[in-house]
Amino acid sequence: MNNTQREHLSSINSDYEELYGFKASSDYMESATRGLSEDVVREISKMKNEPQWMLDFRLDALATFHRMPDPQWIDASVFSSINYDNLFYYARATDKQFNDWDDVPEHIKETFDKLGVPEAEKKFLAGASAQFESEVVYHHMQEELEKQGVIFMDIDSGLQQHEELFRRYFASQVPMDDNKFAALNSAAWSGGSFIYIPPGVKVDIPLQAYFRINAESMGQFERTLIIADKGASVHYIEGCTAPVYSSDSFHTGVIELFAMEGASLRYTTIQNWSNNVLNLVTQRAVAHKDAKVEWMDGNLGARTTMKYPAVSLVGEGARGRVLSIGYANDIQRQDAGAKVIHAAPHTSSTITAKSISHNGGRSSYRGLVKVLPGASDVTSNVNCDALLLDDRSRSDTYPTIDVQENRQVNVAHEASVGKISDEALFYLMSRGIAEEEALFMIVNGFIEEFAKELPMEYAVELNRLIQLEMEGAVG
Amino acid sequence: MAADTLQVNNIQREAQGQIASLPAPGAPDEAWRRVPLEPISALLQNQSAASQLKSGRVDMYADNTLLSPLDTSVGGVSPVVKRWRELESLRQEHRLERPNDIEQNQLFAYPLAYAQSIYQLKIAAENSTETIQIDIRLNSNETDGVLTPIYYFPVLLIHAEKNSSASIQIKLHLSEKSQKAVMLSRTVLLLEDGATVDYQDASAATNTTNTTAGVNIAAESHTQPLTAGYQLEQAYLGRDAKLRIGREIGSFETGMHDGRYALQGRGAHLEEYTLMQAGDTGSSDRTFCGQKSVVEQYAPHTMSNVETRSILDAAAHGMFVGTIKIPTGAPGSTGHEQHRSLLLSPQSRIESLPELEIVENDVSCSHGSTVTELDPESRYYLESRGISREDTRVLLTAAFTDQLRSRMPGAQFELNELEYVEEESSSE
Repeated sequence: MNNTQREHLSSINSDYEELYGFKASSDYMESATRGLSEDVVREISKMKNEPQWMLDFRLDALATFHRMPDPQWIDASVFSSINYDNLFYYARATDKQFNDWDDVPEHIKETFDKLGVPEAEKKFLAGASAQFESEVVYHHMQEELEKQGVIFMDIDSGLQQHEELFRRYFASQVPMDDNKFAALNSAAWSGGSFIYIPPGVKVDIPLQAYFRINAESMGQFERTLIIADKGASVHYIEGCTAPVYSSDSFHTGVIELFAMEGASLRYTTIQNWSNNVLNLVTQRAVAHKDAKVEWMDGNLGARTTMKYPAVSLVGEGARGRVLSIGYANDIQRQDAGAKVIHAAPHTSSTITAKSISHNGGRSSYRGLVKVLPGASDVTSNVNCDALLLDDRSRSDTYPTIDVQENRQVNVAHEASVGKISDEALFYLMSRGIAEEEALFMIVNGFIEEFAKELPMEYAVELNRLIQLEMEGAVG
Repeated sequence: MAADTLQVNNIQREAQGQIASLPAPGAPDEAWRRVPLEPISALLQNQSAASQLKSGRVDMYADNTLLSPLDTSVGGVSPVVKRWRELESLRQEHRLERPNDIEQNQLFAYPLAYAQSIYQLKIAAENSTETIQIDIRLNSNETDGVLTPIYYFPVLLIHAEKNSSASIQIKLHLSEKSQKAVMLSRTVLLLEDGATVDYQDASAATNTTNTTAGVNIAAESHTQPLTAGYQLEQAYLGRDAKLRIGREIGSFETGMHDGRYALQGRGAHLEEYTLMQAGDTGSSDRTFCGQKSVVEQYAPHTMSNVETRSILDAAAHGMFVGTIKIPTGAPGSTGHEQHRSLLLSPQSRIESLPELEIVENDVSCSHGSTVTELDPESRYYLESRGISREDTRVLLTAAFTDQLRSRMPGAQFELNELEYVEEESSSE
């Protein structure tokens, strides 16, 4: 790759400061306390007016968090920069939640205006939720959906208003001792979405949540629970950004999806945290008979991402799909992947993971495909493609395939790593396309599979993150 | 084994000292945490008592002549060991570290520490293009039916000099029958610039007839089945060196092969073909076979191709962990890795971890892994033509294995499966 190409690729996210790096006043942090203790956990629970069982759950999780070791599959240096005592575990910028943007306090509204959230809601969303630090500040859903019985609210309200439903599903896919960060989230969780789609209801327009960290050293512990009942369908989109500070912020989410018989559930994330955010998320879904779960996962920001969306196919005919792209630049490390457990016959899964590493960035695919005894007639295909744009960047592929059944099982994994092909560049250039444009076209083609799965308007949002920035640089 | 009967030289003393400081085999290493270690639990639980464990004698012959053990009389380090250390320290300078890849666990030190003899084979340029058959004979004076296992520690250092070439075939012979035996072997191959070695490791191979049948794999093999075999191998390849490995793993109830190949010279070339089979050995149907293969490409224009096929029957458990590592400084390299598995029984299990760790960007790397049963359409085709179910299975399994065998060095078999089927049919 020549110098021009290098410059152009370096410009991806170079205007992050301008687009997402602004910060609103964080006066409200004055009353917040640093560090995580039993008192802080009790305080969070009390403020939220939670039932006793939830406080007990949080305290158990806190003890589990202190007991559990850091994950061992990744270098210890990833965790060495985390100073748990310096983090804020809970902060709220307003004591109310609004369902009209005009009522949202000006400094918060301004933040979301700049991010284009109210505009997007008007244009192409059936409902939107905006989280600022630890609490959801805005929530709105189309009336029509409300009439159909769709529940879309912040998760704290979900616990208050639908406790029975909440309790049935909460922490059933991601138990508190699943990993150290799931335990941390279980102890300190605040904010996130609670969605229930009644049987047969098809929500054609996406629901969206936007997560914003504003203050320095903030820990955001979002928790999302989505249940699509029999034959229902829903598409949920999540976006994330934060300003750049000198000390790290921390985003540890736990997301649990439940697709009941014949349901269809798609979860799209476009994560573009600033590069001082550690993004350690546990995402897990269960698909019952003939249900379909899709994780669309775009990891563009954050200094370190550890995220392996999982699907357990527990009912006959269930399908799972994970499509992810990762972009690692400079100090970024995108440790992403996918897990699929085939626990029932006639199930199928597809995993497509694409990554671009550049300028010293490191991206990894870490995946698992497991076929349990009795899960006959199973098909699984895994494809990993990695582009390495220089010899300082790194690409790792760590798949695990574990098959314990032989009847009509067909599991295949393929991966390739390399640079942008000289032949492809030459081909385009020999047809009169400038080198820069040719390069842009190739990178564009590489991520197209992901972009085309997004709603049209959201693909434009993605363009704003990658394509337009590159195009501007090339222009 | 009494310490005074050992030829203790520097390398052995060093290895004995290392045992306590090395990590035990197992987690977090992705390969070793999956390997059953019961057969050597006595060794691992009480390291200090290792010298009291029953051990058998290992003799190695090259074309029926006893190989010379390392000369330990001068107390210094032999030239081959010195060269090995040089190449290893060169490798250490450039290697890509990873938290859950333990390069050496305690098992790597045991063979060096407790082998009665460390054998070496030198391939000189003037003796090139010869075929060398290495017979490893495991002898024990123990009577039949002993309960505690006999340990064998074969250690072989192969040094191929500049521009030499050889075809090496390894065979294993166990003298005693019906005893529990555990082998912990260590092989080191040093290929200097321009050396070419075809390395055919049949030490853990099974009887061909039974292999193709895919059942009772080791029951009537040429050598007595060992309870467990842990084979540890390392190779260093210089400029334009070429190493082609053909290996079969299948005669152990627990069989594990750990290989690490460092391609250190420009244009070094590695091909590794492994056939792993596990099934019902007659004494156990819960057999294990595993392979860990790490290929490290440090120099420009190096090439590697790793291909492994596994066939698992009964309640057998198979494992493949393959890694290609290309740090910066190896432009123009290619690395390919393929693992294909055939599961013959619903109780069998395969775990496949084909991994890539790439920093150099001017490379072409890929891996693939597939797990299937016998193709139902092919089975239907053959059975609809009057071939019995069992013979169909034999034919299709043979097609799967022989395709790989034909690529191995010294491939001498003939595709005579139809004759076999014919013979079987007429005897009914």
